[in-house]
Amino acid sequence: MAETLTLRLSDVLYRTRGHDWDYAFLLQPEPLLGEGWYALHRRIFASVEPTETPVLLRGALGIGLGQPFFATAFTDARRRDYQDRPIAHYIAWFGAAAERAPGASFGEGLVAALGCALDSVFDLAPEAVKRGETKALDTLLRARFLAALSLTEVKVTCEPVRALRWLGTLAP
Amino acid sequence: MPSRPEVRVALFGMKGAGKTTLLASYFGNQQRNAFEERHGYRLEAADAAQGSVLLSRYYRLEGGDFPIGTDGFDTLRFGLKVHELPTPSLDVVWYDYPGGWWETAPSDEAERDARRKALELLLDCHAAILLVDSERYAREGLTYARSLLDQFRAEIRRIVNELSALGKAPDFPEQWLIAFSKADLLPERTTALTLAEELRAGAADQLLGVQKAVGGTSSFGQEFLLLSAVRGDGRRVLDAHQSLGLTTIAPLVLLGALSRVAEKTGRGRVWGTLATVLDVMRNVTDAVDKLDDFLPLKYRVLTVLIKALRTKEGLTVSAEKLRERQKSAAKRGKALDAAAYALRAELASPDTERAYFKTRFTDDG
Repeated sequence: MAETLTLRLSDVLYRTRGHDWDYAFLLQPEPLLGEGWYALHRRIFASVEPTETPVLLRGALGIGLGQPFFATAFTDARRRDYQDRPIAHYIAWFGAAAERAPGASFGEGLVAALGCALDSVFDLAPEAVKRGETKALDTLLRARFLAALSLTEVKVTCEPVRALRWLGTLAP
Repeated sequence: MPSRPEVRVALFGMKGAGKTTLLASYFGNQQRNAFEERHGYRLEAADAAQGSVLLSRYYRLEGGDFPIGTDGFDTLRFGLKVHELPTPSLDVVWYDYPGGWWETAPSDEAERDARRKALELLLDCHAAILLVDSERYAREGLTYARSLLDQFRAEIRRIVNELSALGKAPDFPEQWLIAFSKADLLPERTTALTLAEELRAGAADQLLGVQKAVGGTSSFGQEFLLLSAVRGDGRRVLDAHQSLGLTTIAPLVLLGALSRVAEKTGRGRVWGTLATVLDVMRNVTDAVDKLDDFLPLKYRVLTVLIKALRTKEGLTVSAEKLRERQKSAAKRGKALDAAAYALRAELASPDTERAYFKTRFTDDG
């Protein structure tokens, strides 16, 4: 039976790449650690090879009392990079709603809901984005993506899935 | 000190240069039964999950598709396991340095820290490879090569600054291979020698610039290699089982160390095609017992293997004979001898002659 999940975008860590720009975080929750999200993202998606069929991961980050997450990674059916390879989406959803959510594949629906904002940055040339700026490309892309985003939460209808990988508690 | 010898190689290339495909092909092809039957050894991934990811990328290649672009620095450790031996005889460790790091600043402190840790590992490498994308080289020629080398020099300078800030001396590997990836897209008559000549003539200033940046005693700009992970047309993989040069990297690193011994013991500069280099190495065998006197500390983990690599008859025995000796050594439980014969057999492969060239060092650069 189809489920409808509501995701607050401030709970979502979303990393993908553009046609020419390399992987960047387009959505980031408030950092759990002062150092930011990069290492935590790498821990969650270590040894995950995205395919057309979304990989679903559950676990928790061992920070404070534990930070549960529900994550997914998959390749885009339509968007491709400058070498004509499919791009990958890496999404980690944090918080109580993520922990309570049933095992359903929410990633494709979420990316579809974010599609307009993603399309607004997808084809940008990195040199053009960086021109005259001192901030990191990642920061500049995220700012443009957020400017094009009119939503603060997304409702995603998705089908339950069986294959779900449990990662346990990951040390930061 | 690792429990068995390990050859550590750093891989540099801009995004899209083919690093992910090379590593998937390197591991995947060596899992095939046909490879094991022919070569008498195979690779084992030290981390099973990592091996599984590489295999899934390799199956994608077999299905005709290139793997998706990857994100982040990876350490990939493989054990070389010779037939009839219970455990690997040596490890080959790859450090895959993301091309995106050349072009973008870190997104946060965690990524900055990950980059610092990667740099520290880089210093521990025995050799480094800079990938030149043959597809772009065929299309854009020396303009691309010069731009790549200039960007790489800038990246090396950034690394030097980072290391200095950490209080570390920028002790880069001495051996650098300039490797033309996607060599299947080059005309068949192209060899490492012809490409070496083109670059030395048309990008001499840029080569010298990088060589100075990585340390004046390095072999940067002197060793050239053709690498091909698959046969493809640039967009689709036509044959995932046709590769060139990948299995020669580990033995070339050992050979590079031997070359330095030859040079340091006054046996002359080593240069030329692979056959010539191997021939010159015959003169070094009596110096091999004193390897530790001539090799930097980080190479000493390899000296046992380098000693096993050389024999009195030199290095120019046929691949078939070497594989027979590999089998015989394995049967006797001589793990390092067996591995050394396996590596020497890779150097004796006819393709390698086309794939490798070491230019003569000239004082005028």
